[in-house]
Amino acid sequence: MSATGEATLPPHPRPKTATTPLLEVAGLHVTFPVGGRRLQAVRDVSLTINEGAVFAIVGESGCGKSSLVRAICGMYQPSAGSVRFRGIDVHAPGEHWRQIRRGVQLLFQEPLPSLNPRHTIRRIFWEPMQANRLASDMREVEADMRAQLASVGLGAEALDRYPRDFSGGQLQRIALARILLLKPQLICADEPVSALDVSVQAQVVHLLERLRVEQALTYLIISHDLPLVSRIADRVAVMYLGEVVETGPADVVSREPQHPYTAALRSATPVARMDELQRKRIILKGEPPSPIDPPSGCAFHTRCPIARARCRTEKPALQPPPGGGHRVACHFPGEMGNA
Amino acid sequence: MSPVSAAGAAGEAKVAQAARRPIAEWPWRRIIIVVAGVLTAILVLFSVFGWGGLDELASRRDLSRRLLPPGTEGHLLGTDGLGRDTLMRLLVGTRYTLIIAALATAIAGSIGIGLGLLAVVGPAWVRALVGRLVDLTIAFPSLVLAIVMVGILGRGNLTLAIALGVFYWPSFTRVTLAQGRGVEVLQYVSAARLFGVSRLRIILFHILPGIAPTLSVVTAFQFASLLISTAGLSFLGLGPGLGVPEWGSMLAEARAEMTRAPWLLIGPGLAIAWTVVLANLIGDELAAGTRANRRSADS
Repeated sequence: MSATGEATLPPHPRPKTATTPLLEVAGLHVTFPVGGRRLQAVRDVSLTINEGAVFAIVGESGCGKSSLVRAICGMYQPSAGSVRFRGIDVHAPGEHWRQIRRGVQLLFQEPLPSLNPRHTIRRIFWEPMQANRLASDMREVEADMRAQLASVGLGAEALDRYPRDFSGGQLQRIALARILLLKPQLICADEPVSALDVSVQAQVVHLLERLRVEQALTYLIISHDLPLVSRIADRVAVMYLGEVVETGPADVVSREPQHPYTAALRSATPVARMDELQRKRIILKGEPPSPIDPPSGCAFHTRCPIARARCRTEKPALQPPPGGGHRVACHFPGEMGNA
Repeated sequence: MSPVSAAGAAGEAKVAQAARRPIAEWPWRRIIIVVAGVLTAILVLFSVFGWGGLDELASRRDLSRRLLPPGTEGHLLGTDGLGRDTLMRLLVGTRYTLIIAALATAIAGSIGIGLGLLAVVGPAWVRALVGRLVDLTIAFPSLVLAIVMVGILGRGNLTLAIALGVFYWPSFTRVTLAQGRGVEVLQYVSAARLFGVSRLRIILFHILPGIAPTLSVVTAFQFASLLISTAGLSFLGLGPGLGVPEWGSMLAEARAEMTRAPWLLIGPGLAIAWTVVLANLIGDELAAGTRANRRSADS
């Protein structure tokens, strides 16, 4: 288990998720030109996030999870597909642009580089509020700033300090407060705790949980930490080489992974319980293939321990296995799941 | 009172510790440059805003007292071929030479930094266009172009400044583009853009403050080289005009009397050299400060 394990945190009460889709991603492709060729960072990803949910995206470095989230936040333009927030296309230019953008906010992985070192915290807070025309004068929102700082556990004296005066955990809370001042509905967090010290991680995770309830937020969290995800998320999507290979309820996916890649991810995390020590480790061979030239058939077949001839030629669809259950893109689902 | 005895009199432990530092280790370079810079600035301010009688003194002719050597009573630096006081002419000349050079630097800086910022935040084709424009401008000898431009527009203070300014901007653009791109890719700029902060605000509050230290260094060096060009064009007779005590034209006039009064060359020559060296030293100090800041920010 990671630092955010059972011992340090009370079990997360699963919220009753409303059924309104807050965010709908359909057939999303994100590509970048690389020396005349195209790097396919995200390939045909569709997902739906309900209001009040915690949705997690899991995968190793370079699997396209950050590109996906940045496209959702409007930082990258998708090459195909659409992102709808409350039914309105995020990437369509128009009247509602600013309002939609305000509803979806991105929390960067590392807080320090996302805050201008020359600005005080007050100015850092004010800039997005001013850009979104939440107030015409900084003094009007002084009370809001103080209240939001208090909600992330910092005192009002922080307003006149500079980013260099704070620790990593404090900075991440300041970055979070800056976003919350815009009253967003969806917060996309790109590995929100992985850059922090282990002792501070649990603190920030706690805070995220509390704020979600208090301020009626929905989270889209990127992580490579499957145990953490199974604790805080309702639903999870596992990504490999730009594609979703398995998606379903977070606890089910991490307990009974159907895709061999998910099983390998799970087996790679350190265990805290003796009975789990018996579990066999699945070591993947080699590096992930290049997203410029993805393999034929199932993209995972080059590293898959159970790959067969069919996997090299035929691409598996993301669908529930014949026996029922959550959706998985594998011809032989569950074969490695309980290894 | 010397700094050492002053510190001793203060008696505080901290100050005393500083005073114990051997004199050789004091930042003499910086002290000298600051003192020289302040003295020169006072001189410039005096010539620009000072005493109204200065012009009158500088242009008063006395053919009976022409080509007097330095040290003559009433004329500290002697007189020129028309009996005008060299010191007074030099002082008034400060106004022309320095202000034309400063104006040219301002013009070059505005064009250069403006185009550079446009290229930093603009799309790729703007960047390519600005890059070609820089190459094109650098490909021509700017001094020759400036001469042609003065020839077309006619002589004058403003003309000279404009002619120099419009051909000396490329170094500003290059530095702005290179440094600005470095700041532009930083995450706080991406964050600001994501929050919907306007391009103008991103330039003014994020990018410009980030590159200001480097730009100040470039400005100091460009001022020095524009001052030489200003004096050079005046020397060639493309300056403010006859009778105006611009340093470059004073040099040209002194050349005519070189065999009889060689000391006339020394005044304007030293004035130009002094100002150029000073501007370069200030630029060096600013650059050292920028490097030190960057080191402390990295650690």
